[in-house]
Amino acid sequence: MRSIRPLLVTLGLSLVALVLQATLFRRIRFVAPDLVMLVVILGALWLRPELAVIVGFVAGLLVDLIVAGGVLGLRALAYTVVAYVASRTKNRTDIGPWAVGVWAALLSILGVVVFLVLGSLFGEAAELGENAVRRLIQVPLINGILATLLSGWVGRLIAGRRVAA
Amino acid sequence: MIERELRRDRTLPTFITLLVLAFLLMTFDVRSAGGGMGLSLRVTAQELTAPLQKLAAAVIDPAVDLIEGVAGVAALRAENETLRNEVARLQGQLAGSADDLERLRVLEDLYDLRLAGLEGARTEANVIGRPDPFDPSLIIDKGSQDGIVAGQPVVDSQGYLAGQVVTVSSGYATVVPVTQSREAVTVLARGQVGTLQSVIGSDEMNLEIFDAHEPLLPGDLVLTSSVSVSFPAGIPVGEVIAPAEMEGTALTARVKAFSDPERLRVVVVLAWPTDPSLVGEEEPATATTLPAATPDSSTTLTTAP
Repeated sequence: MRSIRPLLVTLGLSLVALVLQATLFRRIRFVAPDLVMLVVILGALWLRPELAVIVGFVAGLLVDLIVAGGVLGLRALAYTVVAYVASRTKNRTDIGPWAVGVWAALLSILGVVVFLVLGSLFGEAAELGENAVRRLIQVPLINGILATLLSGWVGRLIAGRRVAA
Repeated sequence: MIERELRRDRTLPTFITLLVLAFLLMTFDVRSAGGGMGLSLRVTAQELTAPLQKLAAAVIDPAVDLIEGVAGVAALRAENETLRNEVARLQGQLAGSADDLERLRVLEDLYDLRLAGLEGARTEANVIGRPDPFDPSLIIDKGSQDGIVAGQPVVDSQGYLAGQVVTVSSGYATVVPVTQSREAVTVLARGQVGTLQSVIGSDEMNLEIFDAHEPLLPGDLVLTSSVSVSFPAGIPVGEVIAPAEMEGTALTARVKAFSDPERLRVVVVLAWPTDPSLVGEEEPATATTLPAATPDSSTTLTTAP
């Protein structure tokens, strides 16, 4: 039986990301990453693909449960899609940390688009308008930068050994 | 060998199963309008994560305050100088207003003014989290064990309407700011009752009055109306920011809310209505709120019918 440690560590990181998102980035208003999505993306680098999509679903569901005005299952779906595509394309990141950053930014765009499209279909109307544009620009940009900086560290935590960034 | 690996790869079935599950959850949640099982799950999740958020906020907020304080020293000096000048000017005005205050007291006696019913319990709460930078909902550190129930109005530290409690767990609650709420607020502007509705993706609101008898001007105060079933009468909500002309008997005005959800650190939850029979009382002839520094000293004066 394979170790479930990476799965538990990634879920734990998702929880930490959610808490940081709700506290630190509530105060730093000009920086708006989606930390939980970032953990899902980086987790896909080190987890088996089926575990990565499960982590995407659970982490998204956790955020859905905390966001009062949101539709339950919306982020779960968006993060699951992101995790699936991430696990299928992770070999593109082999060339270095900058590739991880670009890859994470592109996946964040995918996640935001899925979120906005389904959100508007299911009535999360507050996500449209100016917020949608801000989300489409800021989240991929900040997530890409953070992915470049943190991928090695997150990899060490999840894989439990020193890994190439 | 490769075929066996492919057969063992359960990623696609897992992915499709989770997508279907997510769609089902979304459908059920929309159909139940955020209630039912979804609400129970939300309350449980809030119970689990809010203590962590409170802990993190206790560490992060002072650190950010310190950094902001250091970064803002130069700006604070200039602001300090401006404020000193302002204080000197206001002290002059204050001296001149003593006579006005005395006249006000006499007029109150004369017209038999009474205090409106905001005597219910107030619960001060700290804002400890905001789960999504683009989602306006706020988590506060008081819940049902402090007497908070869903639907109660929330004001900021200046006494301005901030929002409404939407979900409550035992120690925490979630507040949706009035500028982002999907529900309209029944308000009063220049004695005219209208509905104030948030505008998607904006911090401005739309005021619609269908039985208007005079236009609105920039600076006109917008207060909660006694017709409202969700908020007590007389709480300042915002002010009109652009002239609004009448079209027939209808009127639409743009309103800027006084309360800024981005800057809320402390809020006050009002236990309202203290007596449900008070809801829907007849609209008073006039309603005037004197905005004050603290909600406790915010006084609503209404003319007795």
